This record gives sequence, C-alpha cells and structure tokens, in this order.
Amino acid sequence: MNLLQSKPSIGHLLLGLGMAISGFTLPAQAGIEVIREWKAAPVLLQNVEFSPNGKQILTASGGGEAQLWTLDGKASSPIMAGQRPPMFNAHFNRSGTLIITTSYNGTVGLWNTQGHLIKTLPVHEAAVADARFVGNQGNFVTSSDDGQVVLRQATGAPSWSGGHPGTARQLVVSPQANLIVASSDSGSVHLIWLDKTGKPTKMSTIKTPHGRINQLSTTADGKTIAASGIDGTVSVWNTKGEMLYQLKATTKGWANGGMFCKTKTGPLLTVGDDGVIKEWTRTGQILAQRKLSDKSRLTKVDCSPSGNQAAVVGSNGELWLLAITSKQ
Amino acid sequence: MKNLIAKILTAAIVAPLGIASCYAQTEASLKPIKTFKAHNLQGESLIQVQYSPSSLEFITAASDGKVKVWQEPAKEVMEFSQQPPAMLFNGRLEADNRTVITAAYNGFATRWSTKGTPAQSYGPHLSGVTDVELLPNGEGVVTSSDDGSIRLWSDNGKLLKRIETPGVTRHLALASKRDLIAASQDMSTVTILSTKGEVLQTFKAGQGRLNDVIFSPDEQLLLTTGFNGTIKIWELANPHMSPKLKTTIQASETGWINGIALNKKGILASVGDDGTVRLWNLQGKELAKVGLTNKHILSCSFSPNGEKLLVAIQDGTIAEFAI
Repeated sequence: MNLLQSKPSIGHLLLGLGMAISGFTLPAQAGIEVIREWKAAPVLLQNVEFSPNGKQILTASGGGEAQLWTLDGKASSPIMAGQRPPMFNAHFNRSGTLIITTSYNGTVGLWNTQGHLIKTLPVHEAAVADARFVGNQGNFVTSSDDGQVVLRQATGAPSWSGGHPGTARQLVVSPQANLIVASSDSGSVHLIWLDKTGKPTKMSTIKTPHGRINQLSTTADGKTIAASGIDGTVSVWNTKGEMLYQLKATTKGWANGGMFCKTKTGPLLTVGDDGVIKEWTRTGQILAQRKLSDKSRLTKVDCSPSGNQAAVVGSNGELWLLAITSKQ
Repeated sequence: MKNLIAKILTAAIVAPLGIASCYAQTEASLKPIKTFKAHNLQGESLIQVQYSPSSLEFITAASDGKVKVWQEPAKEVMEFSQQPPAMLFNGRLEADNRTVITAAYNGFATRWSTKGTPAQSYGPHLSGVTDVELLPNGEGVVTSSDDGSIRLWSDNGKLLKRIETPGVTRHLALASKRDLIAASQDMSTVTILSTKGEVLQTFKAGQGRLNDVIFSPDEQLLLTTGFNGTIKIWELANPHMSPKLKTTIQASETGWINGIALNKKGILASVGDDGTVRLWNLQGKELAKVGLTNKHILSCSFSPNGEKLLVAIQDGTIAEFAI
C-alpha cells in the first residue's frame, strides 16, 4: 500500500495502514449480501446511480446507452441512445425528474425519466467525460478531454470555465450545491465553491497521489471527499485539502469506485479491478467485503439514499444490487 | 565555408520544393485488393494500422490489447501483449522491421522486439498513454497521455523531460530530419517541440479534437484532422513561427475524420466515421472515394512506395487497396 504524499499525522497514517491491513483478516462478507444480479448491457458499464427516491437504478454503458431499471432487475425505460459512444456518465437531477448523459462527440443529452430525449446540446469539441446538474434551475457542469470544466446555464451556454492539464474527468456536486469537485487525469482534484446564486467564488486544487481518478464522492454534509484512483487506493480528504486517510481498495489494478452513503454516518463503499466490494467506516476501518466476480472488473458503485442498498456495475455489463447490513 | 554549406543544406531541407510539385496531382484511383480480420473487436473499439517505413510489413494495434506484426495481409508473423492485457491506443513498426512500440491505456508505452530482445517499458504516466514515437539516433522515446503530459524517456526507460499541456495530448508526429515533434491536443492545439523536448510553439488548429497529425514525407508540411470533418494542410517553414495554412479540405460532412496518410506523390488519404476511404490532392481536390463499410474507419497507412493503402475498420477488419 502506498501511503505517500500525505499531509496527515504519522498517527493517522499508521491508523489507516493498520486498519487497511487488518481489513484482510476480518471475516469476509459480513454486512454485504447480494440481493440480485442481472446483465444490464452487452458491454462494459461505465456508471451506475440510484434515483433520488431510491426506486430506480440508472446505468450508462461503453456502448453509448443509458437505461433505467427497477430494483427487481426489470428495464423501466427505453434504452436512451443516439449519442456517440462511449457514454462515460449519466446522472439524475436532484428531484429525479431529469437525466443528463455524456457522449464522446462533445454533446450532452437531456432526458425525462420515461427515457425520452428532450434535447441534445453541443457543449465541447472533444469527448464529454462527465456532466452533473447544479442546483434546481437546470444549470449543469461538464468536464471533457479538452481539459475544461465548464459551468453552464440550462441552455448549455457557459457561465464559467477552468482549464487543467489532462482529461477533466469526474465531477461531483455536494448535496448543498455549494461545492463542485472535479478531477483531472494529472491526479488533481479541483474544489470550486459556489455562492447561493450558483456563481463560483473561489477555487483550490488538491494534488492527490493517484493519477487518474475514477470516481469522486462527498459525504452528506459536503465536508469530506473520497477519490478513487488508478493506483488501487481510495483517498479521503477534508475540504481544506488535507488527506485524512488512504485505503487499499483492490488487490490488483485500479480502484474504480469510492462512494459515501449519504446517511449521517453512512459507510464508504469501494470497488476495484479485483472484483471485490469493500465497506469502510468513516474513519477508514473495514467493516465487510465481498467478492462479486472472478472474471469482471467492478467499474463503479453507488449507495441508495436510505444507505441500506448498493448498486455495483461490472466490465461485462453486470449489475449487482446489494444489501448493506453492517452496523457501525 | 562550413557555415555556408550548412545554410545551403538547411535551405534545401526547409524550402518546400519537393512537395510543391505534388500539389497539382490530378489523378488517382482506389482499387480494393483484399480484406481480412486482424482482431475480433466489438462495441466502441480502437484499432491502428501502420506500415513499416521501409518494407511492406505492417502492424495492427487494437483495444483487445494485442499488437500484431504482419508480413503481408492475413499473414501474421508475431503478436505481443502485456499481462494482464491493456487496451492499446497506438502502435508503430520501426524502419528496422523488428522494433514495435505501443501506447497503452494502463499508462505504459512498451518497445517490443521481433528478435527476442526483452521488452522495455516507458512509464508510468498518470493516465493512459495515447501515442508514442521512437526518437532518432537511439535518443529514446517520446510519449503523450490523457494526463496532459508529453514525456521524453531515455532508451532504457528513464524519464528525461515532462511537458504539461492543457487537456489530453493525443497524437504525436515525428520529423526526424528536422528534429521536430508535433503533438496534438484535444483542445485543438498543436505543440511543436524539438526532439530534445524544447517547446518551440503552440498554435490553434481550430478543428475541435484532433484525431490525427502527420508530417509530409519531406517534413515541410503538417496536416491535422479531426472533430469537425476537416483536414488542414499547414506549411511549417520555421518551427518557431506560426505555420501558414495552405489548404482546408472539408473531408466529411457527417462526422469525424479519424485518420490521414500522405504518400511521396502528394496523394492524401482520409478515413472517418462515414466508412468511406477518400483520396485527395494537396489542393483539396477529391481524386477518388470508396464507400467501404457502415462502421467507423479508424486509421490508414500508405506503403513506403505509396502504391498501397491499408485501412483499419472498427470491428478489427483491415482492407488493402492499390493506388
């Protein structure tokens, strides 16, 4: 495990290291149960997300398709397609009434939750890596292979932008809608603070030890950030840019997901190339782990709004619905 | 006297004489010869095809993680892949016909040898390596990456220089006689560097994401293509000064141009999302076209004598044409 380039105290680091190592000696599989698994796409799934009411799951695929599913594993929308693949991301707005999808040819798609296209907006002249709604007025933020993070009005018109070396890849907006967190493939995480009108007020950058970051997440209070990287670890930071701890999320390859459950003390879920999902406390202690696949890489994870379920997607189009039962 | 000779030689290299006579190329045809399946690819895949600069051998490098060396179409002689396999963005067969270099999604470039010399890796980058070129005179390797950096490495893999660029740096082109490297970015800029890694200039191409950048065989022209379906032909007389735009070709109305190649006779080939192979002269006149497939064509390469053209289709099929 590579606990380097960190600002926390030696004590914190040792704590993180000890806990991470001790995680491999704990009884496996306590606290994570598979409810069901189904094939949600013929190719790699790039992203998974619960609807805000927790009743549906949204997937985005390398084949350029988004799809809504019931928790029973049934498709609940037509396939949302037509943009150039791969589709790296698809997300709901806060009220769960709209979906935004990305494309490789620089557009975002806006869809209703019946899976019908409302409009396609050209926003970049390179691949769109991520797009997230910001606030309740339809504004959104996009990131791209052109290195730009662009805050946009509902029309797609840019209202602010920032450029960085490397792909501007992952985005997350805090539940309070006062903070946008964006990653660059150079390993940087950018914090863009917004005022009540959604206008950026200040920006800071955290240099992580990861390189490319595959998923970003914030806690419910928006004060803690998880970043999962191609070095196989997930690092956890406060918004001052101090690393709190770093977890070994996978025994091989990349850490592809690190997601905080949004309940008050909800756990952090991580997934990686080794096919294992792990559940961690907010202080970096492992609670449970479960091997979901010997053949597939786990490519992304989300936690249900109630915090008692997780959805995980895989490199061969699998979708797992899991029960999270550990008590903290 | 020595200085004078040097100036005359420099002028001979820099003056765009050789290619000028090719501008008026008026006729060319595309005759399909053979197609074969080089890789079994599904979905949104990547494949590059590249002739050796000195023979009819060529390589294919694909998102299945394999780079294959072919003696002729459908006659494979060797195959390389990393363990575990990592998707390949690019690959080249060098003029010695035994050295292969690849650029991979896992952050490493690798030099392979068909003669059994152990593989040499270059990396890691902080994200996928998008392209790689072997520098002249055994001076090492240059790589580009999704992490936005262009890096120069010694022959044995030691990092020598790192240059940061905005966004992704996707493609590299080498002008070995002029000791120049052109590197294209997804924000539609081209950075010109010396082979020592000094940034000489960056200019805006204005084509959106650039899917290919190449030098002409005489190294006087730089050609860029990409997102908006255009090909631009630039005269790069002085690498420190902005290039002069000579021609803009609207090569596709319906999608990206993914690959271009230029032979010594001044015949330009383009392939793209519309599944069509086109030939142009350097004035932008279309000389020939063949609608080949309803799939994307991702790459093309001329044989050293310019009389054959290979194109690579998204599903792993290679098509050979006579010019």
